[in-house]
Amino acid sequence: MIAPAQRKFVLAGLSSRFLKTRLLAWLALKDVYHERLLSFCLVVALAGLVAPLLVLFGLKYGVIQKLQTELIEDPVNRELKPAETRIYSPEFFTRLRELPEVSFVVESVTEGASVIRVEGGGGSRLADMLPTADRDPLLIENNTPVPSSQQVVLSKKLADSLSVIAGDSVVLSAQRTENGDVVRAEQEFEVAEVLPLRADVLERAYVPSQFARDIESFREGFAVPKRAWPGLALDVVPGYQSIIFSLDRALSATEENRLISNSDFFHFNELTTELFEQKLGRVPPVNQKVYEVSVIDKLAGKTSVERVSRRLENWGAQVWLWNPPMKAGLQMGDDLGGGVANARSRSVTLVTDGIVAASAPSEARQSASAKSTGSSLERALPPVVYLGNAQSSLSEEVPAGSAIATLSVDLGESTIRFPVRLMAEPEGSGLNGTRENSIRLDAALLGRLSQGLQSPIRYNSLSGKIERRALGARGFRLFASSIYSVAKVRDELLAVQVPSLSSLQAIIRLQALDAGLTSLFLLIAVAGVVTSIIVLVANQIGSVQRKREALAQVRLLGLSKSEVSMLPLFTGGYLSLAGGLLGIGIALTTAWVINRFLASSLGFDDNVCVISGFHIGLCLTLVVLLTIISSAFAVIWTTRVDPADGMRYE
Amino acid sequence: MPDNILSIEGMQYSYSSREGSFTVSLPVLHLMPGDFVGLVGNSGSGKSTILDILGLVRKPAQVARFELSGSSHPAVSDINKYWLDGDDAGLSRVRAQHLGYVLQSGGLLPFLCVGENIELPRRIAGLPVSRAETLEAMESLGLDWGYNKRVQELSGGERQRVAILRAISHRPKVILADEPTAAVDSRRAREVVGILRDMSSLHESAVVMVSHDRELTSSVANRMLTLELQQVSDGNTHFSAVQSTE
Repeated sequence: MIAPAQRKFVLAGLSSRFLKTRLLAWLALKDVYHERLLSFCLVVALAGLVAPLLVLFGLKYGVIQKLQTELIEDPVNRELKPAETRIYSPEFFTRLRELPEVSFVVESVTEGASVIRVEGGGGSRLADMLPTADRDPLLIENNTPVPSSQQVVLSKKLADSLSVIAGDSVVLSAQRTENGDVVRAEQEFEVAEVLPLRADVLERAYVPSQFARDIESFREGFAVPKRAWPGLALDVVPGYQSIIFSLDRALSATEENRLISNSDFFHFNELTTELFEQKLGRVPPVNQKVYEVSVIDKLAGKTSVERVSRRLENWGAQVWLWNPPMKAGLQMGDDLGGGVANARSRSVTLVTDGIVAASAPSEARQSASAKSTGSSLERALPPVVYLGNAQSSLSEEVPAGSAIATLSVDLGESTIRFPVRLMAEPEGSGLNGTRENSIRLDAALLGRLSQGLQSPIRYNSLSGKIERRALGARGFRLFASSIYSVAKVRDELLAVQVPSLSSLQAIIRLQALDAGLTSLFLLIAVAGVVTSIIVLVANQIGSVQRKREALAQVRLLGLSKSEVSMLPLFTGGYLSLAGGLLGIGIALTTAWVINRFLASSLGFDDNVCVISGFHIGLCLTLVVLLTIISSAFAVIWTTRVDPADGMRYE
Repeated sequence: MPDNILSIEGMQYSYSSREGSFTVSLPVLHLMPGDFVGLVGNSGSGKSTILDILGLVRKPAQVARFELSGSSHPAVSDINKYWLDGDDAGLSRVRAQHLGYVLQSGGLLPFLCVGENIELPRRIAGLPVSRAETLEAMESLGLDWGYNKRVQELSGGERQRVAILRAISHRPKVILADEPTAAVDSRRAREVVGILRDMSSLHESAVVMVSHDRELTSSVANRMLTLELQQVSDGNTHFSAVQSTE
């Protein structure tokens, strides 16, 4: 506890100190006023430093920061596009969605394959169709709502081409050809909003992702019942890499060209006996020329095969349909009926002798009730395959007639499993048995399985048929959470062998520009502050020297060394505060002039020069700091003033 | 008999230079209220040095006793102790409360007006300031017209009158005047010293006035301190203040 007398003494001391401080502030103010012309010059000089700095910062925040923010935050710069078209599994997307660096991802098809017709406003345009979904940053960050299931968003260019606006109706349609007939799928949508040009400069329609998937399913021939879009038969039509044929004569160059004209076949080769045997596992006909016509990449379809085969038949040629061998696993027992779990799987090679059986075995049906499945549904008989050269190693497991086995055929991205009836090679098949562990398939069956290397297929256990399967996502629209996450997402994609295209280089340049500009402004600011300090220090020291005698006089009259040293602090404070306030006033006026008369001519809707309260506060804080720093020198000089000099004052 | 307000005994100040050493001594000085002491001597005899020491802006080389008595706390200030302690704030406080100064050209601050100059010692001493009292004091010296005047606008005599009003405004115990008539003619000089004597007498302050004009000083002083050369040998010069009553 403080005693009353002690408290009185402390209070008196505080009061005296307050009075003394007030006296010093008053003396400093009197001095500044007395030298008003000099003070004014210094205030103007300081304002001349503060004002351009503030305007510069205002411009940085108003223009450059705005541009930078737009560039940095523009979702376009955060997008990563797949560099290759391939089929992506649902697991791939699940993994992507779990990454914190990924803000949005939606399954997509490649842009080129997703052209759709958009009709509305009396016009019709072909446009890219892009799927969208909730939280699509391209839409949201461009003030565009994500469309509902009955809405679409059109890019500005597309909307302008069609002369439609938000609220109008448009019809989106796609079509496929079936046996020469065009089948059309269409749906009417309301235009939810038009996406600004800065977000998309192309003619594009942003559709609900489900609609995009349905359109692609329809294009692939699948039915979409909920939209009443019909589908095609799902049977996989066999595709062949080549037709091998034998003739009793050599073909002329003209006949060679005529043979493969208007077909999927491109290459024409004469086969040696060795090559013929290697491919078909049989000896070529005696005294005959053997040729092969083959495709470049995509397997030849039914039309091409029939066209070429018909020509060859007219020439009396013997024809074989060929596909390269495929890898498979063979397990004894019927996978679908159970009982193969413990069976040993053997690696086999699926080959063909080039012959298409007269009737497909799977078309015959038998009652499934006789099987161990217990199902009342009818199941087709599994296709017949022949042991080929595997016969020797499997002979112990294969009964004298036939055995049920399960084939797992490697399709690259996936595997197809289906039951087969494994039979021994019939006597006199003509196969020479040179291939190791080969299973011989009907040419059409191998042709169907080969299609699985190019597009998804599945085995329908009920029909016993190999059917087409929907392709699934062949691309994606992906946005990183920020531009700083783009590199990480790119690396994550590369880790799963998915190369991507992004604005990474541009982002790196932008970040370098951002850092460079910030450093530049910082340097200018530092130069300004240092100059201000020099101006103030020079003035303060000059002032102390000039008023040395007056300072000695007030020392003589009873102000202590520490008290007198506060005078330059107050003087500097008044001058820098006045300079700061004048500078702020000039800067605000300049900003107003820029915003009022120059903003629109510079192409800005908003203010070009933005000086916020924060900037003003920062400026005044800097002014206070400047005062303290600059006065520190003057204080040192002031403490050297000897009161004895006051006695000789003149 | 009133108490001494300033007591100095055995004070000496010395310094050395290439020309030799210089010593000035003040064996004894006791000032009582109303005393008017004239400090005279030849040029270079150490008048200003003595005045600086009395004005607490120069530290004596040695002093047996250096006390200033006053009604405020503390009752007796041991000036030598402040010097030994290096207590600048303490010395400043004593100067502000107990000493007044009249300098050659007035020593007025150019950034304050006449009235503010007069009131400044009161403000520094933390005493209340009354403009009416200031004006009344100014009127007594015929300066009532000049409260807001800038000091640069005053004549030499006017400046000295203002300086006297400033020196006395906070009612100090001792007023130190250093050649207060140096900047005025002889007629004005008599007027100035007369005012100084009257004002100090009125407020019971003691005055120590340095002047080269012995005749003028002796006309107003009740005591004289004359700095007399005591010894010159081997480059050592020693002056000592000898006291006499007028």
